[in-house]
Amino acid sequence: MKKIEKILVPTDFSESAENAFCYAIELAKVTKASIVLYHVFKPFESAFTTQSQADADNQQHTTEMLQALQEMKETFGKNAEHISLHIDKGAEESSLLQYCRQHHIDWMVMGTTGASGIKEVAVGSFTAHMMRNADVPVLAVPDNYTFSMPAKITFATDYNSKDLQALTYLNSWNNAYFGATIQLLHIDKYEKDKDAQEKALQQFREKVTHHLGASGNITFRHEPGDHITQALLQITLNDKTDILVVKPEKREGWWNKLFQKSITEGTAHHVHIPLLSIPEND
Amino acid sequence: MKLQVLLPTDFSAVSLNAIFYAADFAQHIPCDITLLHVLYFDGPPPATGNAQELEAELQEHAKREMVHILEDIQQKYPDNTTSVNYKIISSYPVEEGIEEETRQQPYDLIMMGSKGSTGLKKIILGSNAIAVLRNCSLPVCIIPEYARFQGLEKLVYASDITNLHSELSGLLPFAQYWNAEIKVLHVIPDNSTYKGSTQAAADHVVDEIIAQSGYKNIDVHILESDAIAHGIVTYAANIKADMVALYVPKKSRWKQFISGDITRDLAAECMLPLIIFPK
Repeated sequence: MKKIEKILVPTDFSESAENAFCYAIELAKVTKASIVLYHVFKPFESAFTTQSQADADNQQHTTEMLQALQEMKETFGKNAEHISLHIDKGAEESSLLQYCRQHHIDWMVMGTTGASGIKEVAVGSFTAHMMRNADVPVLAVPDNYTFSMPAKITFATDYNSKDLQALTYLNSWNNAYFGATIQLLHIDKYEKDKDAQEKALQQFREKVTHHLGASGNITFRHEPGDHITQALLQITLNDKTDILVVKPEKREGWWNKLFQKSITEGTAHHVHIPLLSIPEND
Repeated sequence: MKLQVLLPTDFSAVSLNAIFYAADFAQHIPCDITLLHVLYFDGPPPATGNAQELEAELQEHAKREMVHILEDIQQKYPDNTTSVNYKIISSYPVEEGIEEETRQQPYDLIMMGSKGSTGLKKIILGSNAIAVLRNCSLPVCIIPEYARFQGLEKLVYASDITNLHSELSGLLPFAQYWNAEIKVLHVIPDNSTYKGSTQAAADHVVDEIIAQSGYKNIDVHILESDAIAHGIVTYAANIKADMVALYVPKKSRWKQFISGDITRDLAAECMLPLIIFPK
């Protein structure tokens, strides 16, 4: 079984990141994980200063940032154990992805908005990018959302067999740590053939049962809806889901709508509950 | 005494969901439900044919739909004791017809579906839900498309705290039916220096209300957020609230603040059932 032993919390020192850190601390208590509080910056380089001067500046910046991480740890993680600090130098995305790979990070927990402070978009572009590209599961925590033990986890599925791998991970984490109900939610277009829908559900149900055996506490929900994203967010809000699990897709699709302001609809989808992406492993 | 519920419907999926939400609701609390359909004609009269014939045909169609809904309710709740009636009227704009109906009959509550910001069509729901609640003197409960009634254990009450005493007089009887936990939520801007004093003042007001009303299930939470509507809904999602309540003051310096943007944002964005109390 895949465990959650090491959680990475990248921070840009925004309130959104602070909130994600608080969430991660509580999550780590449940899973008995250690936390790496992580910050990355682009090192200063210039032709107008000498190399030694640039090195000294960067060294000083590293020390300052480390100090800032230390303060964050002391402010929010007073009673927490096993929090280590790490400063990386380099481009944000690649450094973060590389660190995850090299240090066997199991989960990444980050805020939905980040320092951009643009609350109009549901999920900030950096978080969205991480959810799409990281090799590890990424949990995006909305601002002001505090941890509570998950009782209901909703997995958005299109009844594709590729979902089974992610579902297996989710089920094993759930059995080990949460004991929640996992709801498999599928949204269908209104006008689609009812019989075909019913058949697809039956087939997927069999596959899931076959794959997980009797080990899962799984329910199925099938809803009609024209706007998949809107329907997903509304249903999970109303049925008191604690975590919404989505499988990242690199190609364009409804999934990406979660992160973009829709031009035709003129509104951003507001995400009010934590979103977890579980990537496919090769 | 039975709660008199008016339920405007245009037979869309959203409004059907609101009807079944109300029917579920009525299994717990004695209600009389009146379904209301408003026929409207906003274009020029038809060039050919008879306008009266057209209206009669639409009437007939609406009647069939209503009968169908009543059958569905009967089928879903075989032991249903709630009386469900229907009315079909003509009015344009639609919200004026609804208002007129509330003036003629003693309703306690309006319940209606809303699709929110997407799929806003030129029909009764969506923009009209907002138009109704703007002028209405009754509490309006807006039911989003996928909401299912699951009891009422927790209610988030978004308030600016200044008129909490008078505001809660409308909400308390409603909450008492279910012994619902009222979470009064006051949103202040990020990094406000007044957080501590606001919390103390709000706690004091709530203590007074508890002492006066004897209803203990109330507490108050101060939330720092610049995106007010967003902050309210995230808080509601976080504590697993069943409904968000809001109060629309008719005239105050908060008017712009509350009855303008926040109500509209919440009605459009809030994907949870939302109940709005007038002054």
